[in-house]
Parts: sequence; C-alpha cells; structure tokens
Amino acid sequence: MQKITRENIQDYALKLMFKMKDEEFETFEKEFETILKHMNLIGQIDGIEKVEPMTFPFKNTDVKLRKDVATSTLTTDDAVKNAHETIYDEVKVPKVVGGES
Amino acid sequence: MYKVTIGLEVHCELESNSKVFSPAINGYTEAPNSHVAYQDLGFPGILPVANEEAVKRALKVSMAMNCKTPDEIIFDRKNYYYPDLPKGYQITQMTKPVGINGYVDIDVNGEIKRVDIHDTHLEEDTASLDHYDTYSLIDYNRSGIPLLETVTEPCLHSKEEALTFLETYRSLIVYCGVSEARSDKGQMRCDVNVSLSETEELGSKVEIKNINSFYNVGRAIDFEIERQTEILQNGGVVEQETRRLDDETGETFHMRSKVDAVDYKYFIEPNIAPTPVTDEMLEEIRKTIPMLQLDRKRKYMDEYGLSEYDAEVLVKVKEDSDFFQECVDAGADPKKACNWVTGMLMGYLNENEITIKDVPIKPVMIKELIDLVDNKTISSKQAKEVFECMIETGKEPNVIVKEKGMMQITDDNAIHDVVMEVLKENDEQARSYNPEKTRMIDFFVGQVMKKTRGKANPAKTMEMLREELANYNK
Repeated sequence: MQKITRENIQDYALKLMFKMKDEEFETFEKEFETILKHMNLIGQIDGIEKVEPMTFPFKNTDVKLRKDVATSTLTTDDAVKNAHETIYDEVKVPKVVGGES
Repeated sequence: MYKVTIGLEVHCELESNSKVFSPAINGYTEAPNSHVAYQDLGFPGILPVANEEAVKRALKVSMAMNCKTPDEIIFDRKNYYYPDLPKGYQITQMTKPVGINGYVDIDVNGEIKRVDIHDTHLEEDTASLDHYDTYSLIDYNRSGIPLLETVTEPCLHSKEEALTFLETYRSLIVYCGVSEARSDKGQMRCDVNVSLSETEELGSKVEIKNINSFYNVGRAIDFEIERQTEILQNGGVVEQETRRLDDETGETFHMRSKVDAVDYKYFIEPNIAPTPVTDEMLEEIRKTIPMLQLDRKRKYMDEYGLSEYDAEVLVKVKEDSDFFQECVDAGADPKKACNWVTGMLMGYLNENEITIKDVPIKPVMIKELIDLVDNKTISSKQAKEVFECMIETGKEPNVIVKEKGMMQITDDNAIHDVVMEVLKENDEQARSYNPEKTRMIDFFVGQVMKKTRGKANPAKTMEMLREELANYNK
C-alpha cells in the first residue's frame, strides 16, 4: 500500500485550504501510518477484493423521491440575516474573481 | 493543417416547481435572495431530498440521447471552496450518472453525424455572483436550481459541428419540454475543450470554461484553433490548461494549468439514500419523449415530400411542428398544410411577434379551409381572407364563409347568365375580342366578378368567357 508522505499531506492541506503547523504534520504522518497498518490488515482478509465498498449500511428499496412542490421559502430578511453586510438584499463578500466556478 | 478535436460540456437548467434538493421555488425573480431555503444556504444540519420531477426530467433527456440509464439514483459530493457554493461542495453525480454512453445524431449540411455522449448527470446550480470594483455580491436564488450537465466525447472536428451539436441538443431539451434552454437567460452554459494534433493521437487539451452563448462558443473555438496552430507551427508545445473567454475581445486567457488542477475529492453523498430506478418508471418516462427535430424533418421530407427548406422551417419550433402534424393527422394534404403553416400562419406570428399558442386557430380549421378551396366553395384568394378572419376570431372557416356570404357560384347556369349579361352590356369590346390579348379576357372576368361580388368561380368564369367570346362574332 502506498505510503502517505509529508508532501502528500502538504498538498492536501493546500488544496483543502488548511493552514498547518509542523507538529500537526508530524501527528498526521504518524496517524496515517497507523491507519494504513490497519487497512493492510483488512486487505489480507480472504476474498476482500470481491466485497463492494460500503456507502450505505443497508439497502433500502423503499426510498421515495420528493414530490415537486415548492413550499417553504425563507423571507429575504431571514435569508440574509447572518450576513455581515448586504447591499440591495445581496450578500457582500470580498472580491472573488478568478477562482473556481 | 492540424486535426481539430472538440469536446463539449453543456449545462442546462431544468424547469420544475421546486429546486433539486430543497423546497424553494425554482423560478425567475428580480428580487435577490427571495427564492431560498435553508438547504440552498448550506446551513448546518440540513438534509437534501432529491426532487422527483427533476430526476425524471434528467432521465428523459438521458433516454432521448440513447444513454444507458442507472439501476438507482445516487449523488456524489464535489468538494471545492468558492463563495457561490455555501456548503463547500456541490451535490452532483459521478458514480452513477442518469445517463452514460449515448449518442445524438446531428445534420451538418445534409450529412448525418453521430455525436457520442460520454455521460449526462444531474446536479445543483451554484449561487450567482456579481463582481464590482472592490467587492462581490451573492444572490442565492440560483443556488440549488436543477442543472443537467451533458458531456460529449471528443468527437467533434470543427466549429460548425460543435455549433450544430449545441443547436440540436438545445432543440432536444426544448422538444422534451424540460427547459426553455435559453442562453440569454443564463439557462445554458458551456465548457469547450479544444485540441490540435498532426496525428490520430489527441493533442494537449485546452479547456475554455463557462461560455455563456453559442456565439461565444464559436469565437472561443476560432481563437483557440488560431492560437494553438501558431504555437505548433513555431515548434512549440501547447500547454494543457484551463482558459477563459474575454467576451469583449473574443480572446481566451490563461486561468490555471494542469499542475494546479483542483482535486475535488468526490465521494458518494451520504445524506441521500439510493433510490431504485424501476423499469416501470423508465417506461412511463419513455412514453413522454416526443419525436425529435431531426426525425421529424426526415419524416416530412421522405413521407410527405416536403422540401428540405420547408421541413426545416416546420421543425424549428416544436409547437409549430406539432400544429402542422395535427393538420396532417386531421386529413389535410401535407404540402397544402405546409403552405398554410409556413406561409400565412408563420407570417402572421412573426409579424405580431407572438407564438402559435397566442392565436385561437386550431389545426382542424386549416384542414377545413383547404377543403373549402379544394371543393371550389371559395377561391384561394378568398381563402386568405377567411384565414385572416379565422386567426383573429377563432371562428371556423365554414362559419366565416357563411357569415361573409362568400360561397362561390359554381352553378354553371348561374355563371352563364352573368357571362351573357356582361357580354351584352359590353357589346363593342366583345366584338373586338382577340384571343391573343390576355388583358381583354381579364376585363370580362373582372366584370363578372363585379356583378357577382367575387363569388363566381374564376376558373369556370374564364372557361365560359373564352367559349362565348369565340362564338360571339360568328
């Protein structure tokens, strides 16, 4: 199994926009080593390659989609209540051109 | 010359009453932040529930594009940080999109080309951002509107093919009745991938993101072909990158390189349980898919013998095409029905800038009008008058003809009496009649029409006049 290096963690931290201290990197490196050890153990179980990765604990065939009815909509005042600043009911943020979209 | 290869990623907002994962209204409004629910603002503890109608509409388009549909609906999270995405992730589909491996046939100057569809998936739209000098403003009304993204394989090889695909795709969406698909309203947006190569292998992929109109797609492709050709001709290497189009200049500019590619850390959205897609559900949806534009065009040309031009005019707007089809289904001759629909009807609609839904005319009325001309009850000139009255009032042609006393005189004896009367009154002209001079006969026809107030059958009148005049001097 591939080792998680300091470079990997730095890369993830950057992409996820986390600022991390050196000792935090050390902790992560150690923790990932332990995690990978456990994963390795699981990997040794017979027939594991035939087991599908689990996202949901059990299959529920009774799931219904929501009927297309427009109901609760917040008032504009409530919708922007938590904003630091608004202009004409829009939420004002620092200029963010050129990022992801 | 280098081989151009183009792939498209087309986003289209779907119409529905409520948003895709929240019960807020999906509809246009000028009031910012007025169609918003907790889910659209990414409040902690929210639980998204997928909208049945949005899912069905997405599946409908998927099937119309001959895609393979999934056995269950699941969603994925695409993680990235940007102010238009309050949750910090977009709910989209990657593991099991609503459609994979489909195709759409397009007609490029009479040649049918099959465009392969990689996948089509349902996701939520982001909030809209307006940028000012020193700040940006966010309106969350768009946040959570159902968005269908369709990705083609890199199988288009010219601007023309790319634009034809986009037009065809747009018409498919509109024909399916799932969206107006208007780019001027921001309902359709497009990412374009362009690569140039001297060999069969694909060159470096350059992606131009977020183009807001078909016209701009064309400009972006033109610019990229020119830019990349110049690099290659000078022995350079095209960098794999993401670019943006400057709407003002029509030039593209660097946004980010492949090395800075964002890792979206996709994983299955755990808050929405998988919903099975049953055969019954698919069958129900399949029944609602209408015959599409290109198939209709072929049918009109092959079965009805219409010209390519007429067929194209008829299929441009689905409602017009439906109307024409109903005329034919009611028993009207396709060519005659086509003449009425593409001529008088569309002329009237265009002149008044309205659609077929805005006029009280029904397809069966066109059929009746054609019959009235065919059985010589009215002349084709009178038919136009009836049509005008019909489209204004919604009255049936038979009723109009009666009300206006338009019934043509087709009774031979009645016409003959008038013809003889006219000749007697214009004895001098009748004597000097010369069959070579066509204006002469027109004069007599005019006189008969005047006496009958336009009701005499013109063909019969002409025939009788010729006969009587020929004998007049004998």
